[in-house]
Amino acid sequence: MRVTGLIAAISILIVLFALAYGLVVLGISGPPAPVKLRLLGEKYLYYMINPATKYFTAESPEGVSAILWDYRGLDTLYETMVLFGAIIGAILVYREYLYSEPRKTGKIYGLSHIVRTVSKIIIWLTIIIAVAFGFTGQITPGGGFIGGAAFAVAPVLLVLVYTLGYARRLGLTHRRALLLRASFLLLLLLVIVTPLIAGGYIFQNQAKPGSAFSFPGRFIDSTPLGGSIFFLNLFELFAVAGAFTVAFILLGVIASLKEGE
Amino acid sequence: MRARYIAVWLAGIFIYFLIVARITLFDLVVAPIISMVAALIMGGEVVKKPYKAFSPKRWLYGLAYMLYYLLIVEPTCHLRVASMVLGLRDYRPDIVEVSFDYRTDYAIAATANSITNTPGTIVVDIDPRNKKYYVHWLEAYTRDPRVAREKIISVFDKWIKRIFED
Repeated sequence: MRVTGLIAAISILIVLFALAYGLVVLGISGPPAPVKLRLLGEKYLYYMINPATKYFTAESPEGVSAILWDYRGLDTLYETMVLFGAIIGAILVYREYLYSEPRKTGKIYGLSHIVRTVSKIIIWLTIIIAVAFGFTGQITPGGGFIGGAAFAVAPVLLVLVYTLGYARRLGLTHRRALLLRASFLLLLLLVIVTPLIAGGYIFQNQAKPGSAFSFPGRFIDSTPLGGSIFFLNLFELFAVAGAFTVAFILLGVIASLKEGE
Repeated sequence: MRARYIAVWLAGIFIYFLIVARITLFDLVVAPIISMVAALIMGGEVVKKPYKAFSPKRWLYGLAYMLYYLLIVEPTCHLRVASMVLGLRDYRPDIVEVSFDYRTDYAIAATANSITNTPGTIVVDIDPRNKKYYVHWLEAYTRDPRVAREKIISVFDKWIKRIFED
């Protein structure tokens, strides 16, 4: 146990040093401090706090907040609302446990027969839509993180509408979810460092000055693939889905422990 | 056992094309993969007897029931409840026991949802072991589960059985 701990600590240190050395000395992500700003960055900085452009200034020196709330505020608002809706949904399915007297038998029965039957179809559809978000994120709205978050609805429903035991019977265990998360995170890292191995920059997608490396931009039928975006979306989807599944299984364990008291 | 997963997998591919509303080579390649993920997790649960899903007769009955339900049953119930609201019709709200004789989960759920979705009746609880719905009914002039069943479920009964039961 102590030896594995030591190995883990040393490998973390090696990775940290390698990254720092690569970034600062070798310049794997391009020049450490770009001398010239990109056009988009220039526009952001020009407008975010600039009393001279009366109708465009956000009056905030913090660029990210200025863009997030003043330039794409509706988007941020909807993100907040989606999260709010998700929480309301979770409370709705969980209300049996939250607002009723604890059952004396200490057993969890799950929700009614009708809810269970309908939830089967909803869980199945949710998984299809979530995975489709990840696969088609480069052509239609959605993407890896959204897909992973949508996927997380499936374990929530499984654990809340049915029981933890049912989720386990379907093969959704925390070990598998962790394995899913870890392996897809590794694949994600692989996509990020692939251009570096090919002689380009870290996180590079299409060709850049000094590196001709490009991920495939189009599918055989010329559907846009977005190069690395397709792979990043896909691997992010399963990494996020795995992470959320672990979290909800843990919450389910805590709930069933409380119920058993 | 394997047939269940294949049925759910094929249905998932169909659902994918319904959602994206386009058919390109890219979609033809990714749809089976996407549907496979969902089928691997839920395939054993969504259907019990997969051959039923491939029966065109059941689908036609399903489609016919949808039209009948939306165009005839719903409007009549709406009119009935509207006339109660306007004081043209008497009402006697109560919760009654309604017995059913379905064997499949989907038939039980579909009938319960059909009852709840029509104005005037709501399934409050269900006792699957004794095969009884507890229905809040605006015209509860009887407490006999069989008479209540005749009045409340018989409209849906023959359709639901043809769609979901053996």
